[in-house]
Amino acid sequence: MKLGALVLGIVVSVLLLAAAGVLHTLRDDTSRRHYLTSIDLVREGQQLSATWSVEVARVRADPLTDFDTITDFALRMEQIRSRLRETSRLIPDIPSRTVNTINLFLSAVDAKEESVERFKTTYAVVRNSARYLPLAAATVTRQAEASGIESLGAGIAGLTQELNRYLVTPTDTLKARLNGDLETLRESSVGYPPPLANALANLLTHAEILISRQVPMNTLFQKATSDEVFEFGSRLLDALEIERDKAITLATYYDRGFLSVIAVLAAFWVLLFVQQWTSARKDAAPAPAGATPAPHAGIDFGDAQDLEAFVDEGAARPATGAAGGAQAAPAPAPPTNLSAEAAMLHRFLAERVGRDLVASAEKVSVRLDSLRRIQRKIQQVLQDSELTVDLPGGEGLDEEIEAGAAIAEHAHREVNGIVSLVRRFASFPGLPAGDDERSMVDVNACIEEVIAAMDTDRVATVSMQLDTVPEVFASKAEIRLVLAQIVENAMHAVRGPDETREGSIKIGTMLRDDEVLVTIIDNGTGIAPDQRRHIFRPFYTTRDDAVGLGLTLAGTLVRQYEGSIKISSLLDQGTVVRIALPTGTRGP
Amino acid sequence: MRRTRRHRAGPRAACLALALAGPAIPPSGAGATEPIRPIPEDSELDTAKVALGRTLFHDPRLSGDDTISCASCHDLANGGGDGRKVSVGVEGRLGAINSPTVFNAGLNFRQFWDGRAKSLEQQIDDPVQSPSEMGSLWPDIVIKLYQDERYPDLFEALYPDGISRENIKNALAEFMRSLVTLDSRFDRWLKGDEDALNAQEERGYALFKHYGCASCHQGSNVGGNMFQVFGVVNEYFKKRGDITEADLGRYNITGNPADRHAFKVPSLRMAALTAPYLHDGNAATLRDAVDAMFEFQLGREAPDEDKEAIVAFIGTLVGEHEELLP
Repeated sequence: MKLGALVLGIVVSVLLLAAAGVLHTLRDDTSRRHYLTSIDLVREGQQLSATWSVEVARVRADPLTDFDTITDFALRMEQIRSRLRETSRLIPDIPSRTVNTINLFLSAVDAKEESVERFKTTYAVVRNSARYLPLAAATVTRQAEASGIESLGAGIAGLTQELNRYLVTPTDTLKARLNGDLETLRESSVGYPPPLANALANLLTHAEILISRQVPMNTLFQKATSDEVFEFGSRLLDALEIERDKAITLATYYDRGFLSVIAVLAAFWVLLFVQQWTSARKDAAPAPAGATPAPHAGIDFGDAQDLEAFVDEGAARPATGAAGGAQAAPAPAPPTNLSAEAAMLHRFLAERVGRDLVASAEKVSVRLDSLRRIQRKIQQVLQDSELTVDLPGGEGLDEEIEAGAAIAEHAHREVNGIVSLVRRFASFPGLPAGDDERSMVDVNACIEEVIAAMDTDRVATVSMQLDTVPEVFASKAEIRLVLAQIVENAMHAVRGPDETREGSIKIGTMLRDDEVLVTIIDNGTGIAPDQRRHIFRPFYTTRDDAVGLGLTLAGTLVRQYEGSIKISSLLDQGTVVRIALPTGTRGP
Repeated sequence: MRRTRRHRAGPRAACLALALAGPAIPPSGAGATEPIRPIPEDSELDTAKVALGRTLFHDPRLSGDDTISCASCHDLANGGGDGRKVSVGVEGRLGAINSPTVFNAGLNFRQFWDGRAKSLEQQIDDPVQSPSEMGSLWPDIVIKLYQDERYPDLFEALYPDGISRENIKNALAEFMRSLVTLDSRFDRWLKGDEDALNAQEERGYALFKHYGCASCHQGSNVGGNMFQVFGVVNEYFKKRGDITEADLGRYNITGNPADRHAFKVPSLRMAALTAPYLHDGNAATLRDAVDAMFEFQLGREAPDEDKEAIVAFIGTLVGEHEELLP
């Protein structure tokens, strides 16, 4: 793995991992987990409530049972209740509607517990009186007989009979009649002997307890065994399930995003390794000896109306162009074992930026000098004429000039600082200029090597028409890089959406005047007119899988050889790229 | 309250069920259909916390003037109460209500006579901070305990955050959970040991059920699992007079008129050792308490021998615990 590629790889990896990290944070499934727990708790609560009701009913049917079990249910319910309350508090962004539904459910649980508690209290008394009543009736009857009060026995029998009826179906009329009977019996007891009077009083007390508490006990029993917990629980479950589904959907989206980013990262590294491996193989080939570059270069775009016509015309017309960078490329740096691409990328950035900066700095310097001269002249004139000029701001012209000069001076210093920084960057030992050693290069051989390495057969039929052309004085690696970029774009273009058309890439070389012309024609998707003026801009890309430096690099390299690159294209018909490289002798 | 009670059919019931070998036979025999169950053993206690809780239980520094410990009003050797009508707190102040025993308190479904605390932990705040009991403040207690030689290390070993109100309460509660009296004669009888009770005691139990005491005093703690109004049949408070705030019972907590004079039904497990009785301590002896129950709760009359038998039966409910004097 070469250092440049490694650096690029690490930068891209860091960016992707950052994206993955963000997605990972967002996919945090706290809500989903807590909703699931809450749903379980509500179900558990419903279940418990149902069993609780059954147990309460069992206790009611058994006059001599303990209350431990139905009391335990309250304790178990309390645990569910507090866990549900805790869990729901942990859910971020829980809708207040859901909170209300939870509170309704919890209130239903509270109400049930309260009802069970009060039922226990009332039932204990009622069951006791109900058990005692027949005994008390028997005692009273026995003592009445002993005391010779025959009528009382019949009255007691009637009372117990009606009371039993009342306990089964308590109606208001029956209750009124029973209360009347009690009153009559109580009045009658005035003259009875004390043991009988006491026994009767006991009987009446317990009868009264039964009459007054049977209905409240029934009501409490109804409440204690009602379905309210289940009903509010079901309502709550509906609400929780909706929220859970929302949370799951959201988590799934983030999950997918996260996995996609990781997949892209993996794919990126695989591609990077493959690319490094192939370029390492290519670099193993030896480079031929050199020549000098021609003193003339430029980049130019043609606009073809008709692709075939353009190709003919373009072939007939020698490349001309504006001289973009007038200076020759700086001296090559010492040889290195860095990859050609990494070195070129570095040099491209350093030189391009550095050159522009230095040029700008020089311009600023020149203007600064002019400003200084003008200032001195004005001061001279002002002194000679003893003229005072007042500016609208109230300050003298003198001061204005002085201030302007100071700003210019400052700017100059700043620019020089930047220039020296860039120079240092350009000579940074870790990133030497790389393999740009120039030699005489056979362009045809380069084309063949590139095509062989690019696996073009997968997407297109490649036909080559290579004239015998003179060698050019250039870096073989750079020439190959330029060609590879163009061919790669062509391959991508023919792989486009139109599956029915068979991809075709035609490559030709010919000698025109003193330039070698390389023409690469594809029948791919083409470039839309509004995109065409951007294609050499750094980081401009229409592809999802590219950084947008390929054509920028190619353009810069060609321009560096005083050559030109022309791109013509018709949308959905194809693209023609023509590269002109000056044939060279080994320097002037 | 994390204790769960379990139904126990007991060996006798199991034998019967095996002998009949029928499908889905409901548990029968003593210990199965009985309203009282043996106390279950709790094996989930943290013995280190129990030991720490025991030390704290006896430490007077938990009170405001370092004079009163939990044990001052809950004398473990003599049944877990203090033998007074109402307890005496710091500076000789009298409490408002009779101190219940701490034995088997963990089996109660609520704490205090009015049931205002739902757990042993929760319950501790009141006696510790009440001006008429220990009259203390938690921050003071924490400071005092930190100045002790042993406590900081003891707490550090058991609780990551050292000495704190919550941890003191937890240790005390754990100790109280260990105060369960097992293996009473009555429990042994329930489990099938017919010789565990004498004839009078056995008759006492039958009468206990017959007269309806077991309507409220039931379950493994023979009470402590429900509320009941004191004066169901006849009005106790009208007869006694001088109604205090404490006499209102659960009404003080709920404000519900139905809860007027309602109290937690006390456990009878340690009743034989914890005179005087009732929330106001007005019943000096167990027999007095039984009389009061017959008069105000049951509205029935019973011959002395029946009441004596019931008192004898209540004596068999006392279980064993290492803290208790034999």
